[in-house]
Amino acid sequence: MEFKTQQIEDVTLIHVKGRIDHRTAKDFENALKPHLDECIAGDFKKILMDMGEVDFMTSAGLRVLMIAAKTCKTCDKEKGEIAVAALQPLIKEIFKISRFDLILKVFTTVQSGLENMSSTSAGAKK
Amino acid sequence: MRLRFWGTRGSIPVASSCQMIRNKVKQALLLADGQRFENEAQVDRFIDESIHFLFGHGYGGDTSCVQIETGNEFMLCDMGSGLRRFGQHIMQAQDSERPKVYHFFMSHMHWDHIMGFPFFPPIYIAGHSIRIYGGHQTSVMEDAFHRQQSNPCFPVYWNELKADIRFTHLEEDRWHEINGFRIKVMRQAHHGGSFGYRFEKDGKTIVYSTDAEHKQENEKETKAVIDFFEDADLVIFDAMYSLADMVTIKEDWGHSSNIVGVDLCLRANVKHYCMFHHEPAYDDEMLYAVFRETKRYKEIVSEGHSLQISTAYDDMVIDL
Ligand SMILES: [Zn+2]
Ligand SMILES: [Zn+2]
Repeated sequence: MEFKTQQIEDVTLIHVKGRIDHRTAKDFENALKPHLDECIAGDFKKILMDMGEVDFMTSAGLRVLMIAAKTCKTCDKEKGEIAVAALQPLIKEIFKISRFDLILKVFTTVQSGLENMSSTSAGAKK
Repeated sequence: MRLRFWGTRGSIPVASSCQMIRNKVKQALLLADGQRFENEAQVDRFIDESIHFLFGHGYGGDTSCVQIETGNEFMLCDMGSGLRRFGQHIMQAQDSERPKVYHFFMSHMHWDHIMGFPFFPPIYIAGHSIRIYGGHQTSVMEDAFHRQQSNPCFPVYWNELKADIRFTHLEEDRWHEINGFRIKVMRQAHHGGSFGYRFEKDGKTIVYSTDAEHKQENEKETKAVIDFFEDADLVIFDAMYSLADMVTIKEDWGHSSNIVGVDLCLRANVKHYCMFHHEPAYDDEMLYAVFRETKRYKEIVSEGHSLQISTAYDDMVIDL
């Protein structure tokens, strides 16, 4: 699993690549941790996960996503937010089967995610 | 070895509503489409061959009770409302032909797992021997049964029961020999604790693991579950919730999800995963949809490993 972060205006865009299963769930959790720690410290975050290059995911990986989403929400009067974008077809199916599509915001593309989440439209539209 | 499921529902027994029955009849009539039947046998054949499981059968609504048929003494896991039907069934046999010893393996003492006991005829008949085993201390088990058989829960009190009833605590993490089986017990995450069982006999292994929340937050704990399931021919698993429900509003409610069951069984090289302890709010259509989705999830994540999946229904039989 690979993990790369980019700040676009007020949205932290995280590109994830590879497999997220029981073998890599801990790495995934550790990689997300600094961002969630900032959240806990009161600095609310908007996190968009670009899942375009995630080709395998199991319940162990979904669990980490959920913990991240919960942590984001509990900070600073629920202003924090986490969303996913650009799911591959099979990952999209797993989101539907696990009902994660009902509890996490899912955007078709990274661009639409940025446009939707960014409060400064200038940043999102570039 | 044969397993017979007398009750498969979680938390509380459910019955089909009038509307649900009406819908089943309607679907059957539509499918028959005016067809004439010469006799009942033809009708039965039509139901078996032409009507979908959802309309000709359904999942039933009794709570946890699973029989392991083998040898000449009875063996069952849990005493949910399904035990009432098991009791009715065995009382039909000639008294002289019926074994008088019953071994019960209790996951825990929650209501839905003991409520069949007062409706189980052998407890009222002298000469019957009821052996109740559990991972809990005997005092915990006795207390639950005594309270159920007392005012104001039930009109027949514990001291009025005629059978010889004994409780046995089974220590965790060691093998026990009971009724020709090697049996191991595992503590599970659930309110008040629950216990899973691994039964081995004649080269076959069955795991009964209900009312357990597998959070997968600690790999050491998850690995212990996988070791317990390892290479089993059949794992009966608490698949009550969707994963989203399990990790959000129903977190710490003590149950697992359909897809966590797939992941654990795949890792443990299990042959057959049986979804169990169904959500009482789900109707037959919903349970069937979840079953299909679970099989689809397995296709996506199994990477060529084989795993048979079934979803338990009342009166289901599995031969091993
Ligand atoms: Zn239960
Ligand atoms: Zn329970």
